[in-house]
Amino acid sequence: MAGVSALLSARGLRVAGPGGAALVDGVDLDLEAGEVTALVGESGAGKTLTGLALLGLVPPPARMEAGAVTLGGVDLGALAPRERRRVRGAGIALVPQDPAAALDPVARVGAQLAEVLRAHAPLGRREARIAASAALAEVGVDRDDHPHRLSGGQRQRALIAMALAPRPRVLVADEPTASLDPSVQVAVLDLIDARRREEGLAVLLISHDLGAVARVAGRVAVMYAGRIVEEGPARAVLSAPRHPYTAGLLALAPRLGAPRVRVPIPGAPPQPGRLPPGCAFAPRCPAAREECRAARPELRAAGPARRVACVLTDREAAALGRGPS
Amino acid sequence: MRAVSAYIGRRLAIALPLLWVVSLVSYLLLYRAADPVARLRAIPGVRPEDVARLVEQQGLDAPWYEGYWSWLSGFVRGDWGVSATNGGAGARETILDALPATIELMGLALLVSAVLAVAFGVVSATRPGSGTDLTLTGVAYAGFATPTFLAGVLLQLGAIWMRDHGWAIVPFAIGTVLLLAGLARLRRGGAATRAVTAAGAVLILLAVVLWDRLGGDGTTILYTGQRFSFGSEGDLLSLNHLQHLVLPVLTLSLVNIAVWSRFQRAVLIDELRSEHVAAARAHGLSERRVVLGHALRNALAPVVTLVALDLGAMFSGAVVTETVFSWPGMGRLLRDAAVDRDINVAMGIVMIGAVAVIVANLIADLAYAALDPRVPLGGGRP
Repeated sequence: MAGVSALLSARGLRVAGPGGAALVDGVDLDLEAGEVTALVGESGAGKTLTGLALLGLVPPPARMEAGAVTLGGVDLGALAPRERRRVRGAGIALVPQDPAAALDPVARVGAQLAEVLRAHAPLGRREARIAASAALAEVGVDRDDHPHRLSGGQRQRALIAMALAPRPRVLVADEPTASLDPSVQVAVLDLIDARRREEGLAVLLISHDLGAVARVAGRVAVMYAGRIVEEGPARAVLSAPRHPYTAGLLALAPRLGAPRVRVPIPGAPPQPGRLPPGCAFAPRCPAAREECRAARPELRAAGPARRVACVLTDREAAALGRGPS
Repeated sequence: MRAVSAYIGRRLAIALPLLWVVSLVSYLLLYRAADPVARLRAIPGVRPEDVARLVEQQGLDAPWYEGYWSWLSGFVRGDWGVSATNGGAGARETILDALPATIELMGLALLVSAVLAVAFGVVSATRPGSGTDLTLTGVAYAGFATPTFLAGVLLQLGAIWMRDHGWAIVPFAIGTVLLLAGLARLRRGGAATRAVTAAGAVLILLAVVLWDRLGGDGTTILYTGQRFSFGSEGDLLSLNHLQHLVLPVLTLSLVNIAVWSRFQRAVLIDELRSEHVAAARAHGLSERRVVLGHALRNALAPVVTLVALDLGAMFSGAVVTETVFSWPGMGRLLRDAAVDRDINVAMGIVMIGAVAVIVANLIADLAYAALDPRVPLGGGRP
């Protein structure tokens, strides 16, 4: 926990699905200026919904049931809808999940970017168009193209340019590299990272890709079944995971020199609303014991700036990381 | 640009054989329908030798292929034959006399129904399941279920009844309440409030129009088609003329508003769920820009296509509407020509209708390509 200095902090985020089942349950997040925080976990863990909850855009029929988000000390929940809208884009920007679908197919990218600029600054049409062309030229996209004429990488870069154009303080990047070639992935991450270094942008990087996370993230939060199960400095979490789930994810990540056969985590994540009574990961956990099934472990401090929701001690977790063989 | 004109040329070239088939089928149907002079023979006092002269003059005793050939060869030369009913005037002149009235009626009805259908569709789609949406849905189903002739007659009867009872006060009262309620909330209210205000204003206007007729002599003004010609001095935009238009245009628009607004609602609801609309919200665009600038712009293309495809059906509606309101247009002329076996006039109108439908479809495809850059003209690469 970074404490009071965080640029954006979320407390007790809770998002419920149509049946009332918790999809995101009691998530706390702190994003520091100039730092990339990675949010990792399997599909369905609630990563995207957490990101959207920060923007106040939980898509129906899901809805945000509880939680507070403050940006630079301002409680976003207390803002009038119009002011809340202005925070989107200019305060907290989003790079959406699917670049193929996130651009308006019938409008030129330049016009779309200019529109975003004009929504946040008192620019004339001409000024906005010139600024939009420049922002797109920077990422190698022609403003007069329609989205369907762009490659996947160009679309993603155009979306990042759109998100960064109003100079946001926080960027939520939802799987920005998921559908891209490896070489393009690096370019896209560098684009975001440059803004972080130069302007102190705070980034929430939602990702499956632990390689990308290791490359750019300062902190890592691991989500499982709607909760954060481990959180801490990226280097520490990725080199010495304290939660068996993090260890399982790391064992799956491709790595040079690692054995080609990777052991998947057995079983599947639980359905929302059908969580086991104790630790949600217990049914799949290699180190689960009786107490894990009895009560859910809360997040607790575990070393410098680290928290984990697991009953295992340091030593037990370290042994787990080395594996039984 | 050249690709577009080449495309248009290709489409028009394909249209020619289509028009030929339309003419052949229509001719056969009209020719086989009945003996063209049976009605004449039945009229007492019509001399058989006059009938024989008509048969001779119009070539009615020839077999169908000879009749068709002479009609076709005349038609392409611009000679559409003689009208059997209009005092021996040319069929083409008879039709062209009636054409402006139909263009006026259909054009206005097209405008009114397209604008209202899109507006109702947007209002419904942005608040699905709300009272406003359910009301519009109910009205749309009622409009869809009411045949055009019934709607026309009911509107006429309503207008007559209100005139006789001085009940222009009814729309006036409702309109005033709506207008005041709307104005009171206009500053804070959304689109629904504006719609209520507008509806109130329209009702008051309607009441004033009705009232204007109460003491006057032109008591049939709302429900008959005493139309002014295009040429006569400035009459086209007179209050009197516009009053004549109100009910026929409304009658012809009802079904279209019902169907198109449902379609607009469905397409727009889908579009509002799309990723790029969610992304536009995340970029901080106002809801108005998101709905009208992005979602509706995407949702218009399919509606434009439906509107163009429906133009043919709209002409059938015009035949009924013009008949009910004695509107002196091509639709009523077609109905009369069909009843009177005036084959040259009927054929001319059918051909004009066919050309209009083909052109409307072409315009729809061009509009679709213009509205959606992903759609290539004629199946090629964009």
